[in-house]
Amino acid sequence: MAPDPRHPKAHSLPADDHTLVVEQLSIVRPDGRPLLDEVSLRVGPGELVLLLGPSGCGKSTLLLLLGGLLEVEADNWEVTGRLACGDREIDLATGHGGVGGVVFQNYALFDEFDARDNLRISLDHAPRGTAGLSDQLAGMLADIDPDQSISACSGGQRQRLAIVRTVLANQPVLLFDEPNSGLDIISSRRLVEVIRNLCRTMGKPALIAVHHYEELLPLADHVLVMDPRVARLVTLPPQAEAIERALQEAAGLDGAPPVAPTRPAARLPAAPPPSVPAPAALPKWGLAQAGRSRSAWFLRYVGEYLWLLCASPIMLLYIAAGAGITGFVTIWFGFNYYSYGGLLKSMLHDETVIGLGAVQCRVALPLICTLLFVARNSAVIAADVGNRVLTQQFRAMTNLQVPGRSYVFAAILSSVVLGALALHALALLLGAWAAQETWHLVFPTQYRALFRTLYFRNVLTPDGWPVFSMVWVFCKAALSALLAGVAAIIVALGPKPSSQAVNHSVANAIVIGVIIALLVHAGISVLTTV
Amino acid sequence: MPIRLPDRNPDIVMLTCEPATGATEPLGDPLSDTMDVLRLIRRRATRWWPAGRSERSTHAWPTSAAVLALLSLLGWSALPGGLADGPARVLLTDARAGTDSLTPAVFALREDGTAVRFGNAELTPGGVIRVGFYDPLDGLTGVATEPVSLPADPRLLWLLASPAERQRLREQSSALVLAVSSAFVDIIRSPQFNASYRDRFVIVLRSAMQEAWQAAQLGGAWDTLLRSYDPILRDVIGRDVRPIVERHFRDVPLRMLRANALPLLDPFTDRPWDMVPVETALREAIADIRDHAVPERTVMELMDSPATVEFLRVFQTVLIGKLAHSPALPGLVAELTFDPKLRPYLAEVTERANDLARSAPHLLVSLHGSTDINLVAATVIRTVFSGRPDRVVVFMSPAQRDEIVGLDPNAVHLLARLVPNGP
Repeated sequence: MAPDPRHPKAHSLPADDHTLVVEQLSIVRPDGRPLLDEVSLRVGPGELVLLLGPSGCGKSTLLLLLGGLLEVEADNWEVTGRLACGDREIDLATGHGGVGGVVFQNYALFDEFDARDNLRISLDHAPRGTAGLSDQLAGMLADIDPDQSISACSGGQRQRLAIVRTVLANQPVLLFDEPNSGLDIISSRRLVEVIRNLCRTMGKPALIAVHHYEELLPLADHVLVMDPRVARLVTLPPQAEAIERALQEAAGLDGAPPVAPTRPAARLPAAPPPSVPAPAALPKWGLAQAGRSRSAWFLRYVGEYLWLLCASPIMLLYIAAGAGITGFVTIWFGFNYYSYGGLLKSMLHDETVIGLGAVQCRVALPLICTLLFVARNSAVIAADVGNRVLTQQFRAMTNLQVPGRSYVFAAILSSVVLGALALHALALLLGAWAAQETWHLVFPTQYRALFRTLYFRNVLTPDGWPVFSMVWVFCKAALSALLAGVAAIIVALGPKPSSQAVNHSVANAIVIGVIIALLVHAGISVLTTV
Repeated sequence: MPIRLPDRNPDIVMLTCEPATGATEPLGDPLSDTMDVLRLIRRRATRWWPAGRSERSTHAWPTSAAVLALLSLLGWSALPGGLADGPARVLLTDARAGTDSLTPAVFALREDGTAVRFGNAELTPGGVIRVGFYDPLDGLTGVATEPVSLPADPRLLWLLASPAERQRLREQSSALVLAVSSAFVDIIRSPQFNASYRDRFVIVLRSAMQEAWQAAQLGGAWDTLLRSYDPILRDVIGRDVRPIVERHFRDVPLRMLRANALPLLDPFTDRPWDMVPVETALREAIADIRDHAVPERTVMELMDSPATVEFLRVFQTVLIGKLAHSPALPGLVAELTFDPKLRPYLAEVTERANDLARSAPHLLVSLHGSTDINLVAATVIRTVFSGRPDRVVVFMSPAQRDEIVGLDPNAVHLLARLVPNGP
């Protein structure tokens, strides 16, 4: 694309080769309809291009393709053509990957991290030589506390965080999907000014897919209109009437009078200048310090999921309640509902406690604990992964070159296995304690030590170590947790067009996880007792 | 009316409307105030009980660690310790120890006489009894200071019963024995028994006695008995019979000469001898012997001799064996027992037996007034079923020990301490 004479600064950009080149691009939808047919385009360094088109015409798909996020083979897309920017050149028919960093419509920020770590993870996984947080970027973050959680950020703050995060990934092209969605006119224009300054400063082309374009036209270098009728891209100057006419045609409304822009771009109130970098902004973000290694980031995820799945107080109390109730119910009903009264209770007391101890430690407590653990954590995993899918966090990770699936899935599975083992040990101890106290309630004149020596007769050796068969108890716990975790991940990774799909995957994950846990317990119990 | 969001934090979003006056008031939802309060409580609570990553605060990990530590401590307190190897052990020896094994249960008697499991015991190969206590700091350790070893059989229940319980059992047992004796006599004398059972019992008993007699004879017991009677009879004859006979036969030669002078002087006559003096002396001697109860005393002496006792023991054993193996006796006894005609004679026996059957388990095996369980009874029953001659260690007060020793000195083994660090 030729430089726009309205933006003389464009000529003074660094003469690096950050020109986005797309040649002979053809995209066929999974249902066989063409999306684009042999389209070529070129966006020069520092140029800002608006991508317009009717709803569902494929704007986001084109952005995902440029960002290397379109799952071509998995979703049966057919793509041909050539993509090049900087030193990257990709044959889209055979190769994978992208050239652009995508700022998603819903920002796709990582809720588990605070604002600083959302940027830190991008910077730590960016290619070497990334400049880091410039003054201009830091200025965008002036009103954000680095320790602030994502949930506490306003929509605008999240948007700026998402932009900075994408910029820090140092991709050759900046791609924005509906960045002004939900913003008022002034905020929208201010945002685009920020984007424009960024791409000019960095000498990178930017492509913005938008619906509400009127207030952005004065800042755009060119406009691309996707025409789904002919599967082509129409290049237009940033003039409202021509664009409106092209959109009318693309939407199949030929002959209708063009709709005038609601507000002429020239009459828009002047947006405040971009934020001036605060002197203290750079140090407080601490991004200039040495980054974390991938192992450190993995451990960070492990810590997150250990907390979420196993170590939170509510989880500990949940397991404790299950173990305690199991211990209480077994002893209370075991001794208070003896059919033959006190005489038989005296005669069979020792054997009853020994038997109940073995049953509780080998069957009842592990099963209850596993069911509670698996049901709860299947729901948590399915909700967590499903929401990552729904909010495109995995795509964002891929775009940021973060091995997100590896981090998340390995952290989830290692956490559930470690957590299952630890919580089962805790449940066995608490179940024994609850059983002991219940027993003392039933037999108040007896010493608790008597119960302990009987209860653990078939569970612990005289030296106090677990008997070998207890290995199978922990095998059941670990295997149930692992398989249920895998099942929950698989269920949650399916397409998530809405939050309702996430809800359904949560329910399915619970059912599948519980069934797996029951089968594992039954199978190992039978196999180890045959 | 426009709807506005007063707070950007989604946790406390509240829908409000702006009326014409411009004032801001909540919508007319009756639950809104309650929901606000609940949200406030939730936010406060999640500061201390964070569940998800978005709600985590600086208290999160310390709170979790504290909860985990508390729960782990509770659970850890339920783990068993090595009692017999623990610091609270005591070593005992049994000077009268035989080949009996030892139950692991150790009991202690409270002041009211009830027994409680108090620890574990282990018999080492060297014969030392190693005892570990459940709670060495319990006050009972200062009361039950005397260790003894008791047989883990029903005698243990009798020994550990309270005096009142033992007295009640004695009374009920005596009543049952009396009832059985009375019923037996009544049945033997009853016309129903005479009509239906006497002859059949006599036949069975006679047959068994004959078989037993033959068996006892064949076994040499009779010959042994007779040989053993010889010195006894010699002694009786020399000590009791001979003086009487001598006293009565002292004048017999003179009286025989006087009565038979003619035949002695005339040897050619064929007159028979007059034996009246001899007969008279003999008759008087026998009468005198009877008068002095010599036969009765001789029989009593024979019956009291060890040989007679041994013969009767052998005979009785063989007789019981023959009766036990008699093919006719079980059916006869069963018929007698369930004969409706004899049931009135057994009414009292049944009543006394039922009384004893009801009270004996209650007194010996059940709870001794406690509210939970009698583990002494459980130990005894388990030992009886196992068939092992186990003994059990019981700690008690000196007074309780003396009382139990008085009941059955042979059953009680006093244990000596090897180390003085026990209760």
